[in-house]
Amino acid sequence: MFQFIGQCWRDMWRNRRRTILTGLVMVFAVLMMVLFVALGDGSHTQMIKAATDSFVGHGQVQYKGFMDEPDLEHVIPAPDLEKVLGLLPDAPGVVGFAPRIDSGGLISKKVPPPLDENDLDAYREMTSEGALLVGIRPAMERTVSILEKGLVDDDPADRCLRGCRAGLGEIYADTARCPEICAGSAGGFAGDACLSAGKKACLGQCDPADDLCVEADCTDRYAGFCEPARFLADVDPNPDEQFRGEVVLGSGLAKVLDVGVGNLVALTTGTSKGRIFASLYRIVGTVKTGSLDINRTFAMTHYGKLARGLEVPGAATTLVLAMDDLDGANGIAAKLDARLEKNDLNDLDALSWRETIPEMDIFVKIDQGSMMVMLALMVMIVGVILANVVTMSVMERTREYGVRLALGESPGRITAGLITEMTLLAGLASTVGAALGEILNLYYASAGIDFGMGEIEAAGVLLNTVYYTEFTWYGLFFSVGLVMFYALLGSLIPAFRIRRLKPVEALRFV
Amino acid sequence: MKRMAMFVLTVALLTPLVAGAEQPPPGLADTIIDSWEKLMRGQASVGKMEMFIKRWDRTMRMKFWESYPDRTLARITSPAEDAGTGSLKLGKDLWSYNPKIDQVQKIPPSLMLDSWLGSDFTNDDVSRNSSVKLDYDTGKLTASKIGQVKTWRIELIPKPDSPVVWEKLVVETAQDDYRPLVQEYYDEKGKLARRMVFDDYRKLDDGRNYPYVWRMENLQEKGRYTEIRVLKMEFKDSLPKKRFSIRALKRAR
Repeated sequence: MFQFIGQCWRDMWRNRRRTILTGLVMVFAVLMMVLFVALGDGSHTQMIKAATDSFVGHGQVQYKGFMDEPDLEHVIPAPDLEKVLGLLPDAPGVVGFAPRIDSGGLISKKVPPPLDENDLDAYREMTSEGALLVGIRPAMERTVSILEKGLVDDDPADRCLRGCRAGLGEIYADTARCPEICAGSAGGFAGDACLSAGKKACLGQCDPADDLCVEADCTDRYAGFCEPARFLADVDPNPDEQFRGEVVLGSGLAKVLDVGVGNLVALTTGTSKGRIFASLYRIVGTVKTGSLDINRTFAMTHYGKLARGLEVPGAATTLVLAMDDLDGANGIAAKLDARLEKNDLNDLDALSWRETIPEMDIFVKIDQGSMMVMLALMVMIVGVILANVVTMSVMERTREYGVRLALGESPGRITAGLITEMTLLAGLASTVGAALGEILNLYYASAGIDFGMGEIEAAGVLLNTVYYTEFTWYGLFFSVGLVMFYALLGSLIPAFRIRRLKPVEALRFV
Repeated sequence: MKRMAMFVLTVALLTPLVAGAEQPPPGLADTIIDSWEKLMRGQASVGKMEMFIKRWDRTMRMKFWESYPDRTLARITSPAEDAGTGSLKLGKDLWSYNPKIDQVQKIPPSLMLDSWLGSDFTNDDVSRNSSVKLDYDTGKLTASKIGQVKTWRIELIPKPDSPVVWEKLVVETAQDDYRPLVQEYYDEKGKLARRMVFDDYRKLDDGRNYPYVWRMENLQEKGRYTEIRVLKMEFKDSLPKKRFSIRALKRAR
């Protein structure tokens, strides 16, 4: 047996150039397939992660009916929430969780009243927007989302200018000197330097006889502008001040409202009992994430105070989950759902990301479908080329087979030898191709492949067009298996032809 | 056969007469809408009302001032936690004020269909109730009945460039004095979405017959409605312009 394989190996290398060329075709076929599958899988994982890690999470626990009517009448009640929070630490597949409370409302920039309250133009220029006010627990939030990583870098010069305008009274005062005032202090715009710039801006520009020209008032207006951008503090610094708090805004929303770190915003929303809840928030940071919804409409503040304000203390609209397996999210959610039922929490549903953002699931499936079509086309092309190359390389040896038949070698032995040669060559080429493919895969998994289109929007998610490949065992075996299959298929046609070959005709073959 | 022919002839001769009895005179629809607007608004008005919101089982009281055609100021007087909250409409602009944070907020166009003060009325209702004739053309007029009361049903079709959200409105008024009884709102699919019922008509000092109960039924959410009960209503020749200012919104008494 080993002698036969050894003979086949030697036969294979009798024409080195032909064998190397045939092998190279196979190496490139495997390499291309490995990379294609890895790129497809990587881009899908990237899409799903962009959609889930920004905010939605890999799964959620919700009150039944919340998906259809996401309002404060469908919150997870406080006792139920407490019970679920007790179950989650040892729930299989769940690696992080964080409760949230949210409510839609009206947000606008807080500005001091104009000197003339009948100045309607000033009020007509006011910008207000619809926003989703979301209460989060920053420390827990870190375990389920990358919100904090989206914090936009601090811009001291911009902060100083906005502070100056706020100090002078925003829309109705002469703020033309603000750039000059801020020019010297932009570099170290924090602490005392900032307060001194504030006083300079405020007191130097107004009439001391005017009510608005008050040092204490001016300092108060400036205080928020003297702290660099940050995310919400882990613990609410003023938990008892019900109508004041700190907030992090989506970068798009901040732009529309013309606000930034330091500005005050007013937010009005309805409580679970239909009352009006209005609060003032100091912006401590802005975030830019992969979710367009967050960037355009979200205002995040501390959970406890907001839940009290909305008259649902201790309750949550959603309990967001991080899971250890994105593809297996449905199974993890189903197990958790069964656990909730077992613990008499029948009014709650555990959902995977496929259920909470079905549009992303559909988008990924459509994309996967189109990639499969491309892959099928690629497989066909690779198959035809490979079968052709193998067939031609075998056909070239017709005279050799004629001589061997004339010398008395049986057609069966020649056929078996040919198939063995092709198996050896395909195996060797596939191993080399797979190794090279996975080396490139490893490189592009960290460096990424830049398609040069910046960011594109898909199903409400901002996707970076630098794609990263992803290693999968099935991608490796699929590529190697397919090339082996086509190589053997290509050798079968001439192999069967050999069985009918007459030595005299074969010797005449040119 | 002769009897049959007589019957057919009688029916043929009487049909135009019967139909004629139900045929409204030309221009009646516009006359009814004018009469309706005159009845409901006049030049200016001041009053007090109570708003009951079924969804929250909640009652608010408020004062209001209105100057025809497009100025309205409303301010909550009770319950205590909401007292001082108000809305001001000037032309197409709508502002709200909350005393807890001493902030005036302009309602953006994107939130016009949101609930007004948690009720089944929308910001759009409040900012657009000045005159239906500004935004709608009168359409088909048909005779109908509500209980024993003979009514006219008038279709109001949005003007081509009018920024309204409804496919059409239907106003149903009594045939005798044109008092409005029902106003229906049809969505873009032509489905009846909301219905306003006017009830409890009372004679005011100036002789007009005014509805003291306005009930907005939300037909998309079963059992949800908001009822406005007028507590005091006084029509005036005019109100000073400063009554409808930001200062007034913040300090209205």
